[in-house]
Amino acid sequence: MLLQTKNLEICYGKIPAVRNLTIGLEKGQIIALIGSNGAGKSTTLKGLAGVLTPSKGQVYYEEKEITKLPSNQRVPLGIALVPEGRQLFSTLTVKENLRLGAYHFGELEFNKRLEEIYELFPIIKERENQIAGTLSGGEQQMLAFGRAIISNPRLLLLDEPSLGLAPLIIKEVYRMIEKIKNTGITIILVEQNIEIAFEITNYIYVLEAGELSIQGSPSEIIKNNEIKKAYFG
Amino acid sequence: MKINIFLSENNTKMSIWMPFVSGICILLLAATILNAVLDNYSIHIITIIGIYIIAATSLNLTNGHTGLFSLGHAGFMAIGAYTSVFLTYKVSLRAAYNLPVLPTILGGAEFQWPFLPALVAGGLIAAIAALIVGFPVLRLRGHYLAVASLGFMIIVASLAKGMKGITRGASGIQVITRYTSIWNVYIWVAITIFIIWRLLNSNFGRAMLAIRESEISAQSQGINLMKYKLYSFVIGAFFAGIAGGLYAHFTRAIRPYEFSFTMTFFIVIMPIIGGSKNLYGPVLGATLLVLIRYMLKPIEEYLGIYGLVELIYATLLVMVMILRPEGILKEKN
Amino acid sequence: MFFGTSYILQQLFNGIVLGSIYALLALGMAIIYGILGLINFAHGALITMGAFCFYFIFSDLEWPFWITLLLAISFGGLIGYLLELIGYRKLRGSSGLSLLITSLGIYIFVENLAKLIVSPQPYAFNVPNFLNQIINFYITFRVIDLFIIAASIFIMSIFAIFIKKNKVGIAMRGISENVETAKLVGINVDQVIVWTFVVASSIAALTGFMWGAKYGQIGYDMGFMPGVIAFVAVVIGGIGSIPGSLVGGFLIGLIQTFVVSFLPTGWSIYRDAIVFTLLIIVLLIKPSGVLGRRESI
Repeated sequence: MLLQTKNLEICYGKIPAVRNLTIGLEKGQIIALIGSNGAGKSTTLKGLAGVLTPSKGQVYYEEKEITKLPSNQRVPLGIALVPEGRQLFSTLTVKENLRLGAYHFGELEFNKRLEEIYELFPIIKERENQIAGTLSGGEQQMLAFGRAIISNPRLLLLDEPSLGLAPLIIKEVYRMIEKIKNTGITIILVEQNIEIAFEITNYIYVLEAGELSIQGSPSEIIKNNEIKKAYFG
Repeated sequence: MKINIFLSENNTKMSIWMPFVSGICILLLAATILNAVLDNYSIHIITIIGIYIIAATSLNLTNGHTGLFSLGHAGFMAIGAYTSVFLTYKVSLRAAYNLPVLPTILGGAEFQWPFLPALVAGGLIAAIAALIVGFPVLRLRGHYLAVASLGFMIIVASLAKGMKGITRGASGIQVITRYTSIWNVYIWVAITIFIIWRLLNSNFGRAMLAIRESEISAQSQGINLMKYKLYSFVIGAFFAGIAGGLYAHFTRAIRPYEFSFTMTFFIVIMPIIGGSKNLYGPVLGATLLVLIRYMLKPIEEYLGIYGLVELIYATLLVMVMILRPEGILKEKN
Repeated sequence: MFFGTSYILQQLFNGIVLGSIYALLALGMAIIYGILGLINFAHGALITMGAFCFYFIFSDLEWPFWITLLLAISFGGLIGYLLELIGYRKLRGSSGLSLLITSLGIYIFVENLAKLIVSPQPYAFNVPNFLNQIINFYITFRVIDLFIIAASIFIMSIFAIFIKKNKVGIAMRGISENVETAKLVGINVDQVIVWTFVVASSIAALTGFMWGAKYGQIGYDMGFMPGVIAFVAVVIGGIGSIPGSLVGGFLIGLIQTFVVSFLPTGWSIYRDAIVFTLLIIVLLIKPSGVLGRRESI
């Protein structure tokens, strides 16, 4: 198992946003966390990234416990997060954003990886010295992906990558995700747009009010009547 | 909206004036007893404590209760000091000390003001200065306000040094008549605390508290930010001016460099250490810090380790900020 | 009364020298403010410490100039590191006001520690002879003035490169924009903050030497006014803009020099008051400063 959580609980103040969560994934998979607003999907992702600290339970990564490890120490281990809303450094250039994504790399290593990212996303190379805040929505998402994978993560966490983007752009974004998946990175995806999520993922966890409700492969989930009602009308 | 601080919904006239009157009586009684019992040096210290209680409590109105961190208080004290001294200075001494006589509208060449009106005049001039300076400066927040108010204090100190014709410049003014005594200081202490107490317990006080907690939500509740900030700033300045006047007529000599950052720092930390959200916090802070000063100054001079007192103050401050940021006395509910 | 060209040029030069010192101080102040939201009042204390460190090693121990200078700068860096570790780290996340008050307390502590150790009397500040050489080249100045200007330009250039090309420099800018993003991207924020303090404090210690060399004397309270003026320079130049803080520094240096040299003698008392009057005017007219962008006041 690449990643495993056991009875994870994450609180906002005194209120648990995620309770008793036990999920896992194998290397190379791409799984999705879906659920309505406030179900705890984002919170779970932040707990896995180290942005939030769990109050109960454990997180295991590559068989080692990382539950309380702060976020900046998880990146060198191979875990990267693309947060909700992308959170780029909007006053820094594209290249500078990428540099910070691989902060713990030396200059040589960084330049090597930079070339590889440029091959994957050629548009970014064109915009190398442009201020990140002036990029279009789709380009920003591309940069956010680039910044996350430049550190060679083995586990990539994507929090609502389609948020705020036009449908055409969303298609492109998912093509990018497909590209990334093909480089062998394991991905956990949080999405509200389940149609797209179902197309690309191997396994789904459904969260409801902070707890795990159903899980299964996309085809199993689709057959489930309640899901049918809730999402497909 | 009319603000009546002398009456509020749940208080009767008695419950407001009784504490004030009895407070004054107790203070005056205590003063009389102490005066009879203690030596001059101790009375001196107690009087100084009183002056700083007025300064610290008035500062806390702006800093602690309204949340506007002003570093300009010494500037208002300077204004009060110089104004009142200029008015009360003995006519016969003016020529010898190069201090100009009063212009005709203020009484003419043969006139020197009695203490109380001069003191109040000093407070009023300080208040007017606060009104003028307040408009630009109170629009700022946090550190900008701090540095701008610090700037105000430096401007006042520079003017005191520069306007040699009136202030005698850097040499300062000496041989001031000692009008201040333990009695009038503590009457003013009672007045200051009473007024600030009433302010805090009125709509005014609630508005200031709202501004302190969050300016944005205060605004959304319809509170006119500028009006209340100004009120708080101006009233604080008035009493600072009074404290300055009392100070000048007690120490009998004032110089521009006394009203400097060191004095501001001294007053600013009194409510922080004593308790910035409590009415009596500044009282505790003033008492503690003045006592520390008078106990340690002899040691400083004897051992030649100048700066010891301020070192202790700074250490206390940093300790409070790290361990107990609200200060010793907590907020009363 | 008219001023001759050479007099004007002379004062322009003097203003640039003073402005260089202020610009360096403003730079240090700006990066700490950018990264922590803290007005580091204790910055002024580093000036005093740098000056006295140089004084004791050069004049008392009589060590060679360049080594002493290096030691004084390193000493500044060390103190900056300790300050962050002991004073400010525990207050990380506190309101800006708590940090301000604490930095005030730290300044007063260090100023009085200096007063205690070296006495309230001012000290005559000695520099190696070559720096005192007077040069007459249409205007009159000493080699130390050239040194100050050259050192400032050098430091500003190196810093400009550092902040654009070096990963720690880029991280500083990233953290200034958003510290949460910086953490999640994997930056070791604590380490970068330490570096910021060390760099800023080393520069401040150097300006202590410069100040002492320029004015010929040092005292326990020498750092207060330059330290506060540094922040005024940052505000006038524009919060959030490093070039802005440099502009602010030079502007104030020039204005102070002009006030003293072009206005009647009585006005020199107001050289500091003018700076604050300018601050209040700027805050009234354009609060974001000459080159500033973000942050509402």
